[in-house]
Amino acid sequence: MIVVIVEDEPLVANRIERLIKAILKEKLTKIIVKNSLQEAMHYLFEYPIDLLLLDLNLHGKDGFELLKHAVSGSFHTIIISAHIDRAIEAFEYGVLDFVGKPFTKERMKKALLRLENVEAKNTYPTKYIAVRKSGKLLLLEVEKINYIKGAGIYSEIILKDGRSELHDKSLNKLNVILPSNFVRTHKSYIVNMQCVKNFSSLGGSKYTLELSGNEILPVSRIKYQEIKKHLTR
Amino acid sequence: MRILKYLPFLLCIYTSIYAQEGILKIDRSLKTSIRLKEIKILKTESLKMDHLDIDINSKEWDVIQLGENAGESINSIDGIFWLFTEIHLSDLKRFEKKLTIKLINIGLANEIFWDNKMIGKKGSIGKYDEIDTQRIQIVDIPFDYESPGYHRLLIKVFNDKRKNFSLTSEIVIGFHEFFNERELERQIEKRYMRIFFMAVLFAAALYNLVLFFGFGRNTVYLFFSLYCLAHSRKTYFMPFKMFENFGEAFISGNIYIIFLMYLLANISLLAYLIIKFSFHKTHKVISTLILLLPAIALIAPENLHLELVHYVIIKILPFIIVLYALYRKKEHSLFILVGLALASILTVLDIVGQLWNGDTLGVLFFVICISILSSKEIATQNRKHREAVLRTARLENELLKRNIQPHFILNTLTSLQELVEQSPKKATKLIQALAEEFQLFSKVSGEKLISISDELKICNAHLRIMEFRKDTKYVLSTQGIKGTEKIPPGIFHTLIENGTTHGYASKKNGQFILTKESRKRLTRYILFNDSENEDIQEVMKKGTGLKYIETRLEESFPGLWKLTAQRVDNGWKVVIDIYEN
Repeated sequence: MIVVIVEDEPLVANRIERLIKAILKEKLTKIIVKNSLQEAMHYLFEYPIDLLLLDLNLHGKDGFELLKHAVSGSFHTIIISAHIDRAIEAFEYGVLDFVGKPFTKERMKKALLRLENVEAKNTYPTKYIAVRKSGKLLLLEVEKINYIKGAGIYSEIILKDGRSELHDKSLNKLNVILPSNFVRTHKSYIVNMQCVKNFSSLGGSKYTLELSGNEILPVSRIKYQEIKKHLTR
Repeated sequence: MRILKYLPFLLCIYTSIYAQEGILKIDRSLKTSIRLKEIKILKTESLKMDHLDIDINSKEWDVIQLGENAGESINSIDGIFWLFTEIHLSDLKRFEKKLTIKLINIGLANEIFWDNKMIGKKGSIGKYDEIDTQRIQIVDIPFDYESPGYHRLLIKVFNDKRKNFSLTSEIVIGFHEFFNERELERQIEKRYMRIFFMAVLFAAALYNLVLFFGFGRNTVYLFFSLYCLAHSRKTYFMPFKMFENFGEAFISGNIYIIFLMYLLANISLLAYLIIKFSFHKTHKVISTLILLLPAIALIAPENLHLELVHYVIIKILPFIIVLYALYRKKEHSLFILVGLALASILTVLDIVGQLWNGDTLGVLFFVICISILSSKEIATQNRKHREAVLRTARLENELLKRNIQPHFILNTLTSLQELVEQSPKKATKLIQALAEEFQLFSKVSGEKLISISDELKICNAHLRIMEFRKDTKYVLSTQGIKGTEKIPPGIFHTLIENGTTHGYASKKNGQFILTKESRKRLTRYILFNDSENEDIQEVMKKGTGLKYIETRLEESFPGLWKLTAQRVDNGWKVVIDIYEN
């Protein structure tokens, strides 16, 4: 696992590095520390990484711009900041966790565990999904998403208006940060349950979902119960 | 108003007195009283000359007109002179009431003879210092002498050379009851009015004195208190009619007190107006003019016209000041102008004889206007004071918040957390530096101004903390700073905090230089910082730091400061100029 730490205070950066090493142990392949936004930005999109640990305030500059870019990447982002007042805002942009400063090893461990637990949802719902499109950042409102289709290591986000955008994150990673009304209905689909028009059986324990845009999506057998629960709620 | 009551009464008096030419003939047609239009006058050299020695048929007798300008003729003679007239009484049986002679405004010692018999006197002839101040003399004509035919009225007058004041002398003959009742009533009413005016003015003086002591010793109130007090005293000594009756006051010596009070009142008024409108450039010019006024006043009693000039100057000067204030759009100038104008109208009415005591009424009116204004001002002042207290509290709060900003503490604690686990000795040092900054802050947080040396201690403590956190070496040096200079707390700390937070992303050494330059009417503080941050303007605008510094400077040096921040070679500098008042 390749981890990037963006932190402007050497002591804090040391601490994060030290704890990460202790927690991930042999899972960690590489750890990189950057102390400014420019350096970090450059690195994030040039090299493949798995996790970004980001401080929101670097040399007095607001780290939110970097955050918006970071969340469009294929990796997960965990915020480590003293600006706990901005936690909810950070979650709205789809970060995996927000660790307030100061922090213990246990708290760091908990944050890193979120990486592995692909089913657990965030406490605070994500409102925007950032997508990079021809070098520009595009913010998609989560509630306008119809469903998401897996496309290899990428995902294809289909909006209610029929448009579709490609996201660098895999379905697994998106599933974790999306609100609870988004359900993994199939290994290749995440559906916004608010857009479901019809849930029908084709017989032989085959089921399909009909969405508001008249799309018909397959449902995996093991997800049947979960979907039913969602729809009857 | 009570004064209106007097108008018909005064008119009644004047209409009941009609003039007679030549020998005064009194008969059954007399209803109340009759006024002598003219009288014979004779100057004699000898002080001891008796009334019996006077030759009433001498050709040396002159005739003077009584009334309007009689005083001038009478007072222009030094020493002893005689006034003589013949009065014809007829139809005696109809006189059921006693006849009375009334002398008005013969402000000199005199003896009155009716058919060679003395029936009344005032003061002591020949004695300069024993002068009766009584303005009106009422002398009954003894019943025995009220026989039909011609009677002689002879008055011996002594002028002790104090002759500068015009009098309207009158001699009236009428019924005893008419004079006594009406005159007494009039005198009492006037006396009460006078006491009322005095009391009101005195209360206003006390009120303003209380305001002076109670509201930051603002000299505006002191001068207005003096104005009221002087007018109160002046009212006490004032004759009943402006200008006409100065003789009486003059004789008793009160005239000097009146002048003194009058002068004090007007100087106080001018001082009040000048301080009230707080002029800057004109201040000296007008102050000099005020100093010149007593000089004019000293010359004044010698000559009526100069006194008039003086009167006009001090009545017009306030108008000039207020009009200028109005032109300069000073607060309350219109209100004061209206008050002054209406007060002056009342004074003018007094001078032209249309309103008894109008001058005092005018003053009273003006005092009420100013008192309303003062009350309003105090209400505003109170509100501003409360706001200032709140602002100071807010600033104190802000100062503490600046130091104990959650993210500052949390970030420092995170660094500390690492040190505790990895290098406990360094952790102790960081705790010490943090504690030091807090101790210093709690010491100065309640102050409006602190010494620069205290501020520098806080800055250094802060830099020590940031050294740990940023792993950067910071040096703060000073040039031209004595250490005792007073500045609002936390202003350089805020700037240095900005510097350490924003300035050193890649540098491992930071330098801050605080320089003081004393210039003409100006103290300049320059904080230089060799940071690499390009956009200092942006940094200054963004944070709450700049707002804090500006509010603090405005609180301590209202309108007398300037703050600029700019990028310079190798860093940026913030310049704070503090102007002398």
